[in-house]
Amino acid sequence: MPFELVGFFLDVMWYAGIFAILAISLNLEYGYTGIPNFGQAFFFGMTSWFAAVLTSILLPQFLNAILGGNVIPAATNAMDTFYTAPDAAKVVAANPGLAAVIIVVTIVACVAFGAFLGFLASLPAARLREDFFAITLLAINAAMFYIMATSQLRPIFGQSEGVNGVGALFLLLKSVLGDSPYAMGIARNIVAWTGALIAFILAERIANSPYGRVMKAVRDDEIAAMSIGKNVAKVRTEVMMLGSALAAFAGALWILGYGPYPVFLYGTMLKLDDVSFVAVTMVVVGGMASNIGALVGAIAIRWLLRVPYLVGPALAANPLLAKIATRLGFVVLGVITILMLMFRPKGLIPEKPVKTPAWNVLEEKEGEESG
Amino acid sequence: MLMNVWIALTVQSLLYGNGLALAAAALALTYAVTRVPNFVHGDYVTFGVLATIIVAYGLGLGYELGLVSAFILGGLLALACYVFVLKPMKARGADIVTLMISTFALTFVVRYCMYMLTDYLDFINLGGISPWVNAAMQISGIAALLTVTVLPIAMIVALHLLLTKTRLGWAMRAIADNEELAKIVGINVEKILIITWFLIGGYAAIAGVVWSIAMGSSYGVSRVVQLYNLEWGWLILLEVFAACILGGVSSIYGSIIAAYILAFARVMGTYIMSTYFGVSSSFAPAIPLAILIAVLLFMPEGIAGFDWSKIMGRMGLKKIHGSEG
Repeated sequence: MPFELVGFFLDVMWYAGIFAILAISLNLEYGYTGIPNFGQAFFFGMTSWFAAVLTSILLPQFLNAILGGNVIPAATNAMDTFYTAPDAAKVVAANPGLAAVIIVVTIVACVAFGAFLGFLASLPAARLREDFFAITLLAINAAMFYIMATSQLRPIFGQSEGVNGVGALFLLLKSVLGDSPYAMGIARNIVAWTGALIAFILAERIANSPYGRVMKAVRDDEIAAMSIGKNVAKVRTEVMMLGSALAAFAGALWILGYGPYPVFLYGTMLKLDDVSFVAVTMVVVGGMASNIGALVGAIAIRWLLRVPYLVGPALAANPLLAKIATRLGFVVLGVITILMLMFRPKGLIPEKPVKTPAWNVLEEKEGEESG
Repeated sequence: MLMNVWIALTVQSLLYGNGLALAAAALALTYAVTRVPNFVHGDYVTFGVLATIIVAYGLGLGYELGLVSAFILGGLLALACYVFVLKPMKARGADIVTLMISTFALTFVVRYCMYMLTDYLDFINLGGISPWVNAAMQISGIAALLTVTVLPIAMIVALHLLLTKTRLGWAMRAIADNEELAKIVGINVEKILIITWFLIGGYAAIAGVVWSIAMGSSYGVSRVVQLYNLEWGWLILLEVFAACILGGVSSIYGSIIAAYILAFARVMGTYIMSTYFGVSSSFAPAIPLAILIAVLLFMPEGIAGFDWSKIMGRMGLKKIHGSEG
């Protein structure tokens, strides 16, 4: 029983960590800048796919070409990855240098990919009013979902079998942690939460800077921002690129950190309601324009959605209750979100003023004067 | 022989269009009168099918009563969403994106409550159907035919008559135009909104039943009302939005026309893609989505909002004011 609890805890926290990065990225876009990105799963999922393709197809082929011979088993298309990934993982596990190269290249390439997607997605923003822009992003998310479901594109997107990647980061950590029963869960959590920490620090630096003030200005009063010379469209584009890059970072970490050969499955990662919309609720409930709020929201909501599965087995005596319990997670999430929007639309953790370096100086001075 | 396929496809497109037109007209009504992009709309559609099967088959009260109950219950569901969520949020001055998010949250609530309901129905084994998440029931051929042909057309005509010939319809149009002025003129906006939301839910519910019969067989009218799964309404939601936006968001007539355009695009497109290009039909939902994205990118005003006089002027068919030499 304790074993299951710990395993459950680690599993939930891993997802919470990844979602924390997503929530922080969405918070920068929607909470700070007012861009309603209801399709964050698109950036997350596409990059995750890209990472899987990179780690098990493109990079191995490239490395083989450079180093000569067949150093790493390389797949030629998505369907192959299922067969080559386990062997590739063994090679990477034995070779930390190789792992490091794969990790760095994948993360950099994925972040760039995400920023590029964000740039493309921001293009329609200028001409559309906000609800239409939200629907556009939603539609792109959904469209990609169905495109990936097409069996003709299986060599590219993997369809229901997905695309296997090589979890280089996971393998690196595992080689250090050894083989204890919780090593896998701990390795995953190290990946996810280091990523979340990086995302948090980055978001805090950006938010507490003059640029952060511009973001809020664009959100609060577009016309006022324009009247003092801020290029609103440019800010929106930049923030979308940034947010998408962060979401892409989460996608890359998923593939690099979930397991020795994780699978990208469009069905789980591009889902509109499970991913995109849950991320929105995390921002709304946790605290708009508050990075801590996004973190708290991610953890809290992830637990909310998973607790029924913990309680479920305990209710085994009553199968109806056990089944209903699993549904309750989403119902409660919906109700909480609505209540939040009605009574505390800014979320749990309130927005704080932008703490630029100048602000800190001001605070010090005020402290001196009053003290 | 080839001709038969195209005739069958046309029939299928028209039937699909009937369902989509009902749902889209209801959504256009939502946009026009209440100005909310309502994402729970899809779940009203699912609920319609579920309610019909529960009443008609589960409780054994017959198909006709099932349809009527679906309309009423669907209407009440939409009304509940308005009274408990949208109205208080609007009273607090929520902006349009916040309202959208609240309707998203509602989809979680409504959909998973439906799941809980079907769990319960499975448990008590109502009507011997198992599992209830894709319940199905047989109806007579005549009933099916009438449901997918006469009923939607009658309902659309009824809506038209309501809007143009009755005081209620006049009041609805006034509110759609300018809510403040409508209040000044003495219209009881609250009462009209309640009736409107009821109609929206009812129409969406019936659209679900029409659709489920129309989609039941590829080349004709099936006799089965089937709830494919509880996600169904949510999955076609964006198609309904596509029809609305292509039609010109608040225009009911525009969205009806757009619905048929989309229906043909989807049915014909799927057939062409799978027969001539060998693409599997799981691609089918992407067609209306692609059209939606294209419309949003290039023509967000839609058919009704588009400035046709400009094009006609350029083609020399119509003089634009002030262009006389």
